[in-house]
Amino acid sequence: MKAIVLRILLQRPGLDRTAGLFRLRLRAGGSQIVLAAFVLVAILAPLISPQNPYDPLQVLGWDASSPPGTVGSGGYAYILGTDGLGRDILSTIFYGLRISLVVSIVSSLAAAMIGLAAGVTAAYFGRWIDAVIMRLVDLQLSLPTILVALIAIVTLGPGVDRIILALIIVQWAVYARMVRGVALSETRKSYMDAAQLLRMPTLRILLRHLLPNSIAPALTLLPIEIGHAIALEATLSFLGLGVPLDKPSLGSAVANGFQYLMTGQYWISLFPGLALLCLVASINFVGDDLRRRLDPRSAAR
Amino acid sequence: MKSLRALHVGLRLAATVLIGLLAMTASGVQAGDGLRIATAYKLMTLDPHYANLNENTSLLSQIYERLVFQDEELQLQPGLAVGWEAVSTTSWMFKLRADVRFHDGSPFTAEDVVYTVERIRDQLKSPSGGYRSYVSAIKSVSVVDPLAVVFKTDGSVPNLPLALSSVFIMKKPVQGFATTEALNGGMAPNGTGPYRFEGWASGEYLQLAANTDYWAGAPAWPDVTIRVIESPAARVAAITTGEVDVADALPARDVAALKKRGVKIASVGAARINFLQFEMESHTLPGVTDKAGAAIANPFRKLAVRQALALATDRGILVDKILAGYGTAAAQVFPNGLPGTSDKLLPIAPDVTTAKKLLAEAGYPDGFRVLLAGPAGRYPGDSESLQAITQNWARIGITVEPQAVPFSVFNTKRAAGEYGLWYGGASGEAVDIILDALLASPDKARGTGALNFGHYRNATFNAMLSKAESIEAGPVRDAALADATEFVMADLPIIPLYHFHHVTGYGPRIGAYLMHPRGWTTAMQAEPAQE
Repeated sequence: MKAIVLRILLQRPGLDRTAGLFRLRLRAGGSQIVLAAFVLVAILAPLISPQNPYDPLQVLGWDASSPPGTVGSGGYAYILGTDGLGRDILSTIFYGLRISLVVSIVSSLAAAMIGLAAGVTAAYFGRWIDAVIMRLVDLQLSLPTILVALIAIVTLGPGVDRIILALIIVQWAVYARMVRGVALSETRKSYMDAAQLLRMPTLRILLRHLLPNSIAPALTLLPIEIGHAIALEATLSFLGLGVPLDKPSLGSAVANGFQYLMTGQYWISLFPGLALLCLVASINFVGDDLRRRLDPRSAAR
Repeated sequence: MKSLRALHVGLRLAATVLIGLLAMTASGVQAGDGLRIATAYKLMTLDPHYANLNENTSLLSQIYERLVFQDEELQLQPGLAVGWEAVSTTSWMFKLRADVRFHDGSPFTAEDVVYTVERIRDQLKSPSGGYRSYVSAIKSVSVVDPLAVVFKTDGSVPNLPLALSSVFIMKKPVQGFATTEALNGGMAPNGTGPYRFEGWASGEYLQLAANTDYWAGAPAWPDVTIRVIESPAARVAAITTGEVDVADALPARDVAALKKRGVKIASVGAARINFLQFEMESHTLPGVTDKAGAAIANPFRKLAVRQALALATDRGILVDKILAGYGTAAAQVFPNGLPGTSDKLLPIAPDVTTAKKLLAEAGYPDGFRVLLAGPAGRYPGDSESLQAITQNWARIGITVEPQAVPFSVFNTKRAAGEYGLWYGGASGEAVDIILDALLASPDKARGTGALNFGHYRNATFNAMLSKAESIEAGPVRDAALADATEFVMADLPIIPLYHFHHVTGYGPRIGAYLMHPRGWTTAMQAEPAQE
């Protein structure tokens, strides 16, 4: 009896929504803390890592393939073990986080800016400019992301800067399409007519009126695309096309351990893989939450 | 919309049919009580003279035979020839084995030897897949009687029997000569070997059946199925599950886990070497700068620099950690003990202090920067070695930028002179053949220096090597080769790193598996388990 009453109570729309919102906030809150911790670790990596895995002088080849908890010849413990060349896995994760975050944030911001410019331009000028930009976007979005990234890396060559460039090439079209849609509806609004009637310079209309009003969707897209960029960088590095051999990111750290999976040296792949999973998941949760708050249709605003 | 759905249904139907077909071919390859082998060697041709690579020669040696063959000690043993001798300095007489029949029933005679040599020398497009070099010194080959041939050579060729140990004998056709296309496209390969050809798919599988008329008695297995499995992980999985009886080229790091699951392991030090090679001719090098990034003169021209780098290299890590013990630290081109090796050349222990001193004396107290190139996934431990050397050399102040690229890219760039320092590998029938290719001065006319991409030139060494090569096979020749090796290794034109081991796993149906240092995989090496 009591349970039925409780269920009826919970089924009341108001209460249900409050509970749902509460869960949402809590999940987002948790992932915000996790994400902040990741960022903090990435920033502080040189200070808190037991070893600099990118410095060949600090990596001790004779300690290769040590299981988690082994105390190495350097006098400190390899909490998560070492890889096949003696790099401390914990330190590799810390330093790999830096590469992953820098590459994804820089490339996503740059792609967002290019996409914004392209989308607003297409929407405002319309006609053939719109057609050219949007067909380019269609063409790119019709190709698989990983294929475009692979072609870009093979053409540009290896290196962190090239990866960023490849990710920008892959991502800009997503922003352009979304921004163009919003900007198109904005151009039909009366304030745009007013601006045009006042004979404001085109650039001023674009930058001061259209752009600020079309930026919201790009902002909500940003965290999700950062998550995608991290996963894509990891994929490229896993395939051996990403960062240099001796400077592993999270993706190449997983790839390093891949060939040891059958040997029982699970720690080389597992821990960087878990770090990657938590990072992308926390970014996605935070992004989801942000989207709900900014979405005009969502009651959570 | 409708047409889209039709397309979708069509595609699914096609996929179903395809999967069915694949399953059928797979079941067609299954063997009953025969031998099942998983190999990394991707057989691409049935022409035994198409390309002199283990990929072809290893598997085809079950169908075709040579006049002489190399045993597990790399010593020459009678094959289709029962004996051979130098009649004069420029002619060799080979006595052939009697009562040998090809798989089509026809007898093996001297005519077939003549045809084989002429096919390689005159009829196939030069360089005949690398076989031309074995017969280029043969001026003429003639039939003395049905079971004897005489080779007349251009000058003295003391290692002609060794050269012929790479040449598979083919049946002389009634007219014309067998083209590669004909051999690949349906004409059944006709050899004298212990197994006869049953079927194949290029790069996928080879099916053999016992040649019950074989001159040395019927072979051990009634039929043999060889599957090409290129991925090492897939070969490990195949031998673990018992899907195959033998799997070759297993990664050393997987050995411990395989042994735990009851897979038996056979291994042997490979008759080959992996090394670091320097560009020693040019005065400036791509990828070599001082610590600030300014170009510097080629440091590898100085012996003290090469000595310092050799002393800084810790082969123990390469062998014990990266190759998991399935490798031997190298100081010369073949593992110690094989013919032509020197027992005085032993791997040196790393010595950072002396290395630093040498580097400072050579004028590089602060070290320098260098790009170290190498292939990825071509040899066991290749890209890991680049990183281990990066760690080693950092200890004497040298900043290495390791760069591992696919072998085809590496090979092209190395040949184009785009590297100053690289990791490479070489293998061959004998010590002198590797010395000729790797360290003798590049000389197109003499055919030397084909792998000497570093343009190392040492007239004294060339003379020592030529002199050793003019001696007939035997201990005197081997000692002269060892002397030449000692002399040239003191000059360090390469830094020998390791001889990796060939590792093969076998299951309960195999009693013993005999490894060959040339890295061959054949059914003849697998002995059935006694019930």
